[in-house]
Amino acid sequence: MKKLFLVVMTISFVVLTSRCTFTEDIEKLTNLATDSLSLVLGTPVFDTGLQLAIKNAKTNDYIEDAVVTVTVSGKDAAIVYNNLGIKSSAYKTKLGLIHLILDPTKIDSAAMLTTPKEFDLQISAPGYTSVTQRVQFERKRTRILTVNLVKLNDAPEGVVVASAPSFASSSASGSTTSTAVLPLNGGEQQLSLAPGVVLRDASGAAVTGTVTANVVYYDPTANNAASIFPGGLTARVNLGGGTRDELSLEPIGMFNIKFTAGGKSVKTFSNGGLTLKTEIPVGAINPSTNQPYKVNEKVDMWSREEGSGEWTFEKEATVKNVNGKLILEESVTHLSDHMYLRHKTPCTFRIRASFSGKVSEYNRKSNAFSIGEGVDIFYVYKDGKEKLFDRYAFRVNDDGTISSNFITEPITLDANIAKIKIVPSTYHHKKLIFSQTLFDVPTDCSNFGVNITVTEDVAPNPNLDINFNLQVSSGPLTVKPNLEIKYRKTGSGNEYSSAFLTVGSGKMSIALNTDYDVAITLGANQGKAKMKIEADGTDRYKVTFSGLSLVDILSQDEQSSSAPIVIQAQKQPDGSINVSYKVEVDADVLNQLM
Amino acid sequence: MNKILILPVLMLLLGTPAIQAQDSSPKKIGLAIGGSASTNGLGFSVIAALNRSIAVRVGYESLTQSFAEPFVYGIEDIDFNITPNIKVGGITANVDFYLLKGLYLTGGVVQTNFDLGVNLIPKDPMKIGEIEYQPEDIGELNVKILPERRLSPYAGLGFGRTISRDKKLALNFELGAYHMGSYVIDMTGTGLLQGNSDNASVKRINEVLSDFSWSGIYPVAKLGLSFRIF
Repeated sequence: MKKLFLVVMTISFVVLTSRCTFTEDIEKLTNLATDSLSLVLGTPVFDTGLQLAIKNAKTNDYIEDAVVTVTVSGKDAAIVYNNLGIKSSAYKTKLGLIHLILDPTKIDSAAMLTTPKEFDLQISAPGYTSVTQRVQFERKRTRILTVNLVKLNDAPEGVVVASAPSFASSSASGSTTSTAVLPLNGGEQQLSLAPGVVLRDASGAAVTGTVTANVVYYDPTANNAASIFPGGLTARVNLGGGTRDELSLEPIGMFNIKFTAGGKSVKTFSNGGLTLKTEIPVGAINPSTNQPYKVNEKVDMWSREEGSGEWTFEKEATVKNVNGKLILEESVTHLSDHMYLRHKTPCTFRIRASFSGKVSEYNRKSNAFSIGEGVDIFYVYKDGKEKLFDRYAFRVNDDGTISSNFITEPITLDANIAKIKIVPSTYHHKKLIFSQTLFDVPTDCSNFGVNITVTEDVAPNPNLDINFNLQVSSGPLTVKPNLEIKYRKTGSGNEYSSAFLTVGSGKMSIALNTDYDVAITLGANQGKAKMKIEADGTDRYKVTFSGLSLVDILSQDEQSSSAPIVIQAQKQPDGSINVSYKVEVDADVLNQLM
Repeated sequence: MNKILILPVLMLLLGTPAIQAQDSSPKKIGLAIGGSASTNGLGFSVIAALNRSIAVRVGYESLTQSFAEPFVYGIEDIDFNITPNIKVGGITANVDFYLLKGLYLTGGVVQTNFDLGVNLIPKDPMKIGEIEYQPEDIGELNVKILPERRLSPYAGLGFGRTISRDKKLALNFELGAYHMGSYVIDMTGTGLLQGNSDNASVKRINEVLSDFSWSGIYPVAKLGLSFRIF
């Protein structure tokens, strides 16, 4: 009996537990070996950086018809990199967009409060004026900075561009042979060189031959003066004797002058100089007296240091009455940007923006990133134009309740700013409505607070929510990048909206059957494409990327594909669609991402 | 799974009157406490003899091993500190059925603590682009091999006795295995490696592993000593 029981139990054990799948398992093991474990890597997330938008001052659109070059100098230039963590002597873009970051291992929140990180940007593009802009960080954050450049052959109102191919001639010694005069703006401004003035280049060598003059004059009375003046009307200036201060500039006229001859650029003059004359606009107020300018009053002449872009006091000019017009006339012995101006302590204030309200609950699973709704703050100028000052975010709780605030960086008021506009960012999770969006600027330059009640537009979203997933793979290595995809309706001329991919995933809101421009900047690589989503039946969509191009802006190596990429996507229960794109690349391409 | 659970239940059911009838000893019911050393670690148990042929054992075993000095392994040009962690054992409940005086079949269940893990951290600072990151900024990767199910059936063959019939002390040696369904690989990461928490290749590997009939079998070799209280 015992033996029988033992046999029965043994047979039962074998039969019940064995499925005789050995050969199948061997095959599966073989497949497993070839489809082995892959490693997923993210790209670094930089919490402090600068999103630089370089725009045409006239069209207010991103500059894409020229390669924009940005060089970085100044105190903390050493910790500035592109968004792949690579340093370059010159960062370039063909999209009008550059993302610079500060080395996250070299910045400290507490130290930045007392010693802000600071560097200067020199921004230039062929056919455009150049701008030097100082950037400061008092805390860890990504700043938005829009810089307008003037296109020389299509200047906006308030900018006079003059080119005189035979402005003057100089002898072998660099000495001008006759009087040279270049009137601008119907004679309201004038440049003149007396005979015998010696022209020299940066090395001090004489510049000889026929002198071509290229001059840009910025009219301070133009409505758009603040947006066209290179670097804006608030600047950190060198008052001499090592004293520097942030000042609000009230220019009477600004000249950007370039003289060339025989392939050389004129930098300095000796035995005299270049005389700059400008009429003081009728009714212009002297900020020192708060009265219209009068004869014999003094007005400063300033010039801009090359490299740092810092305005430096040069001399005082005296107001003269010539033929019933008040004029300023002084000579300079070097060429740069020159400006007649009075200045005053800038009107600087901060806004404490408090948000309250309730919106619908968030589905955190659908958002890989923390829930912060974007807020854009714009200057609104007297001519109605707007300029993005910066972008912030307020916190929304998971249940949709809002009780959050932020304090802005210092906002510097100039005479052309009429209002401050605070609106939901183009980058957002929900369609939000603010109870108030336009705010008066403080006349006493004091900080002020705004209370904004937030509600949600619950009307059906006409756009389609896209859950975007991007992977770049090479062999067993997959990179799920942290990056920003910018997108906007083709031809809209709008600011780009942003979809922030976190570990390869992010969301964007897209109108059906509409062409969008999509742009990605990753270090020196800039990709661009058109995107369109069309319904393909009741619950399927066709996502088409066309006109794809990828430029290594440093090497100018451009790859483009005329063949569109088409992705079929299924409608999800919540109405959104998942768009996944996995790119197989060579290892060296992947190495560029890491 | 259900089929496999039938075995210990069957054994329990079979340990009934017909077998008990063979037992003629006056000392049938007893209670002992025991200790064991096995591939599941060190443990203790309480053993109850229901009669001369059937005993019930409930116990706990545990083996946890971590390594203070990590292994260093190079992947591409990067050295990783690799620290394995091993945890096996769990709560056991078995029925022992004696075929002979010193030979028994045993079956039951184990609530297993099985957990094999590996922690990977870059050994040295790494450069991404031109920025050098410390290992803690890069993040870490944790890979675990876990059972598909924690409550697993167990069967084995033993020599000696888990509770003595006539004396105070008893010694036993047992060979067996428990079946945890299949092994499941779990991978999580932090920092730049956090994308591995949703690694598609891990999902594919788990799908393949779940199809292996032998996957998830954990062998046990155990040496036990017990002291009969009454």
